[in-house]
Amino acid sequence: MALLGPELRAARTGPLLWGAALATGLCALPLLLGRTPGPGAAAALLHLAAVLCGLGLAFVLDDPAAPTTAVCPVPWWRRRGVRLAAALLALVPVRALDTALIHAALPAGRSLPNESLPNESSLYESWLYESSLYGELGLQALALALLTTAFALLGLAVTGGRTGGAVAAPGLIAAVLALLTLPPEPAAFFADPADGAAWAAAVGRWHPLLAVAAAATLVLLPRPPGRRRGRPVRKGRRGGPRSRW
Amino acid sequence: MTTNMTTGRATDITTNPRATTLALARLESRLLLRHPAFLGNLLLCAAVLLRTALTGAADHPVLHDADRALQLPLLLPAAGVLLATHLAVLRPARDTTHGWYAALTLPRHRRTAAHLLAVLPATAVTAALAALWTGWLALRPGAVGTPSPAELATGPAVVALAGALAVLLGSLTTAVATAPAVLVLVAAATMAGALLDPDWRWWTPVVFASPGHEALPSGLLHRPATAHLLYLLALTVAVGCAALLRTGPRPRRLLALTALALAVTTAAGTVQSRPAPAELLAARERAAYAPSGEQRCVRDGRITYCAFPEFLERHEQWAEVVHGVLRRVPERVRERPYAVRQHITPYTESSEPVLDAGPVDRWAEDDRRAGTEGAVAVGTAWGSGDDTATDTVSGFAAEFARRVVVGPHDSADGPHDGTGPADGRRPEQLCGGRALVTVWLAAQATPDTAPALRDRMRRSFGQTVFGFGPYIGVSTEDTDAETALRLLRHDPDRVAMAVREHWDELTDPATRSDRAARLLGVEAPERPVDPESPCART
Repeated sequence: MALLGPELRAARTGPLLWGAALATGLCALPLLLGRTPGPGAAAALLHLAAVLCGLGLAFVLDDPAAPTTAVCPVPWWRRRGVRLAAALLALVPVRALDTALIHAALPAGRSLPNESLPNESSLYESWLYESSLYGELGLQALALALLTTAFALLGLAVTGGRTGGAVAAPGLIAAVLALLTLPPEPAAFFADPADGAAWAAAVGRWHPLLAVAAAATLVLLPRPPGRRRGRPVRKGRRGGPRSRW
Repeated sequence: MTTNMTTGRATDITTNPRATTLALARLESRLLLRHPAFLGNLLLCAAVLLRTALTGAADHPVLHDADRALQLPLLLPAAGVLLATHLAVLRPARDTTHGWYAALTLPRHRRTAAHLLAVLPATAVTAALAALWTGWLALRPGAVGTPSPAELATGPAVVALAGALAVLLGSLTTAVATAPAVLVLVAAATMAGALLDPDWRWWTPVVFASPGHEALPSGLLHRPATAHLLYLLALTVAVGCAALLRTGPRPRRLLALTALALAVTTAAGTVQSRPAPAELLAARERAAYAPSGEQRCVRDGRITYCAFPEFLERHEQWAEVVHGVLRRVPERVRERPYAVRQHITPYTESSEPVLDAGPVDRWAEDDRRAGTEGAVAVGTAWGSGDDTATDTVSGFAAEFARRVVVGPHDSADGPHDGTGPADGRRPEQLCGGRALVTVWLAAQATPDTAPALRDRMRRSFGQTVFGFGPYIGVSTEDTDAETALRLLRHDPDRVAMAVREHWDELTDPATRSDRAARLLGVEAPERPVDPESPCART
């Protein structure tokens, strides 16, 4: 706990706040404009909100003073873990608010996607179904967040621990674009919740992605910046490596 | 000191700011072209196009439709340029080397100009990719139409705009997160423009059609592509000028250029947002409901094919299906005159189809006037790349086979089984022998028709409807369609012999499926007909 205060003071929280604000603003648009989104548009808005929050998360681990703080006796994984846990916890209510805003914009008493529900379904079953759908969307948001974190940790490794966000933000965008465009329709990661079978199949594909992102995060978390396994930091450079691009 | 490769003279970059700017622009352009964000997105774009080519989605392309479909994958390199250029502009901030830059002879606005110029090679690379892809499509067999140069130039123009925007963002704030966040917001606005079809959609970088719509003749499109290209180019200049004004002196010429660019942006943006003119809407109405006046026809023996002029070459693909069906039927049936007419559904470029209650009757009247009574309808798509294309293939094959087996809709020798469209509405229900023969004739017509029919059945439940959009077509029990497809495992010549021998009985509406199956030498349907279906009531 003693680490929490100093780490939060040192962390770049501006992008996280902006990302959360933009995500919430985006999810509030249907309510503000008085438009009822379809299931596909509602899911797309929540996905975009997840990307915006992910972009904010990308910069949380940046540490311009990394060359100085490298001598700190607290291990890297603990310092980064504190920042990451705090940022993820801060994003939980944001995500809940975004989901609530989308839910409120959907027709009253019905939610994503009412076509898939059997007519005789009770309100309880309906609630259960909605909960699982929003849960699945939340899981996908978590996968994107962990993917961003993994990119950020990679970025820290190549920028001397200073600006992992410069790698993570474009990395997240590239990963989302790749997931959006590259897999053919039978293996798509994004589907319309109104198409129950396609949605269920798409959700199943996020689980391995989440596992890989989580594993990559765990592996990269303790890695010291500017150092590859078995390779010492190059001599003659002060203040960490400079940007190649 | 550098050497000018053209003149061979040495140029002192410390005393010639223009040469220094160009030298920096060359360096930055090389870095941009090698930047992982640009390179990765360019490769992603190439992979998407390659997948399109490998999956058959690029077969039988409509070039004036493919040009704007290309704009979507070209957004990938645009995203790469936005991210990479923004990172390049922020390099001093990221490396905390502001102070070092102050010691350089090149002022900040010239570095901004160099970053703006550095975007041009990436734009050229994107333009080359667009040209290569379009050229390859144009050389594909079955390609129809002509691509619009303005639509083709839109993708590279968006790349240039992305670069200029990145430079402006970099001059406004040193936050690395700005460019990705702006990218997500622009993507959201573009997506909303495509989904909601609002009035402001032409103010987004690209305006693309929702997937699954069929191509219209180019003269019926309301695509102000030239105005949109002008809007993008003027906006790029305005954004670039804003970046220069932000980072350096404000000479009168630059202010004038900025004002001019903003004026052109506003004017072109307003022009492009105007609704479709009344003449175009009237032309669409004519083409949708009475297309014979707009079309040209070719005759092939006793078959007449009519299509919109740009699509006339498509009759070669239709003819393969027509001959594939007619070769298996008795000679007296084969020698009848047949006609095929291309139709468009009342689609707009980007919205959902406008379902109209009764174009079929107006089509029949138009066919009577044009002397092609009972013409079989076919759409503008063709191929195996997506559901729209395969549905057109399966729909045309089934509808032509139905025309051969049953006769024209509402004709004297039309359906007598009480299951047909008594109120003139389509699709028409086929049962028993008629269903089996119709589906088998359609399926064996060409190597592409059986997979197209199977694909359609895969997406159906209980009843399968093959046809032209929601308007016209053939509806069969899945059990009948499955039995007919099982016939494909048998020798087609032997099945054709049975079809010719028992033609009258097989095409009699009273012939039930099990009897027809016995006549054709195949096992009867495995599952009983759904008691609720129209076929069970006959």
